[in-house]
Amino acid sequence: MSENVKQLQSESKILIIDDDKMNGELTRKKLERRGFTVELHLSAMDFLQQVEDSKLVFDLVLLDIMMPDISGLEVLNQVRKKYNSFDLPIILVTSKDEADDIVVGLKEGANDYITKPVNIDIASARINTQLKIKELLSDSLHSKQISTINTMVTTLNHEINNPLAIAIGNLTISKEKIDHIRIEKALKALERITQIVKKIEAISQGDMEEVAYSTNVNMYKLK
Amino acid sequence: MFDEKQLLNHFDEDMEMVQDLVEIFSESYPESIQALKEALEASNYKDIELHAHTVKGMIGNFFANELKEIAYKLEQMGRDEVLNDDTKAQFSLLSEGLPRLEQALKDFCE
Repeated sequence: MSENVKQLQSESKILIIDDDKMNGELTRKKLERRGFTVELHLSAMDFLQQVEDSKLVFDLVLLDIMMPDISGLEVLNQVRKKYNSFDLPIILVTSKDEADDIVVGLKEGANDYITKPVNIDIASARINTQLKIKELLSDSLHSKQISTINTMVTTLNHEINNPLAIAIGNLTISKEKIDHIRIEKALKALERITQIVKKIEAISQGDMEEVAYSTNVNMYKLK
Repeated sequence: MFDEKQLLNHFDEDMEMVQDLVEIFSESYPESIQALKEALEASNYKDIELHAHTVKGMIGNFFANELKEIAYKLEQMGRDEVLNDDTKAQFSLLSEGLPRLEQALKDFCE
């Protein structure tokens, strides 16, 4: 296993939600032995509260489908209202005979599934795949952010040049003969430049947010 | 009563882990079998399905395939809302089989 994968495994926190303590404990122990950081919850309720409060501390969830208090599919449904499959990968843990539930689960936004009794090599491979995708996506979002900043710099450069030319022009003429109207124009142009500089400052502090541009495309804008 | 080879493989050849899980099994199955019994008495199909499913999952971890098949039958009966003499017979087989499995697992651990 590469150092990169090892690091990804130990830094990512995995949550197992399974009312079956035996199965949950066994999976937890085996994943820990392979270097993952794992927590086991016998009920989904605490986790759903975290989702509700937007206080997510996990990077990936292994979710049992058939549970007494709330079904895994219902949990999945509630989570997906807030976190998409890139924000929080969810792998369903099912019995072999739950084909219908698996299909519904995948449609409802589960990233993948594994069957019980959990084969740890399959589980590790699928978890690593999801963690890797998540990491790559976050890298790619970061590079998108940089390219957005580059575009902004070009635009802002242009935006500064115009009022700067106006200010210089008006002040140059006023140098020969005081003209209050021209000085007023120059001041307004300088004020615009001040505003733009403030925008640039915000960008340099990384004060941007990702907003939904359309259903599939996100863009960055200043907060 | 169970497939030793598959079991050891499933537990990473780690007897300590097997022992831990056998302990959890001993603690958990009487509760589940009691819940299943009550569900059968109340003809609560949803609970029959749920508790039989839980028991099936427990047994599955030890590769006790015959017993697992019985639990699976009960789970299906719950899903299909079938309750007859065969259901009761299957339940008897399961509730008698579980303590035997527990003993076999404990012997295996020693």
